[in-house]
Amino acid sequence: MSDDKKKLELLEQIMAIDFMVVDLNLYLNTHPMDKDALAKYNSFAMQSKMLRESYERLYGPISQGSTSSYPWQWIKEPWPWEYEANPTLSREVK
Amino acid sequence: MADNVKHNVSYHMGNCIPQETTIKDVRLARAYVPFQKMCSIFSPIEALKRGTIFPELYSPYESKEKKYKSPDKNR
Repeated sequence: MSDDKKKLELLEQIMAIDFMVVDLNLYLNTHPMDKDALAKYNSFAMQSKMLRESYERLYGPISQGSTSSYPWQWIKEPWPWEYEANPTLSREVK
Repeated sequence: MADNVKHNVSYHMGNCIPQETTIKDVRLARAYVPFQKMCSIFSPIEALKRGTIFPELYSPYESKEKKYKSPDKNR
């Protein structure tokens, strides 16, 4: 598998896990006593942290405040809004 | 549509109903939103595609475009 493809796959995983974190966070705001939801939230939050760490180790900072290897990796192309920087989720939800 | 049916089956499994089933002390002529109760959730990739982690909240807009298109073409 090419490095670019691996990078995109890891990014897609991070996006998906982070979405779980966001939606469980919203649910917990109105259901603070739901232990099952809290356990799931904590598990996904941990997974997100680990995935981000492994992504950043390989490809540089994903958000401001993370460390970078030499040379400064933040300005590496493609930029986040460019097509090549984004995974294409297959849309066959039906 | 077949998909929603499938999900209904999956999230009623184990007798888990994803919302309150009785509501008390509600006034007449007032709107009320039933309280949600988490049962099952989508896998991360499925959730990201659908825009929700909750099968019971997944309700995509079904376009009726085809119905409106045919009179347009006749104009």
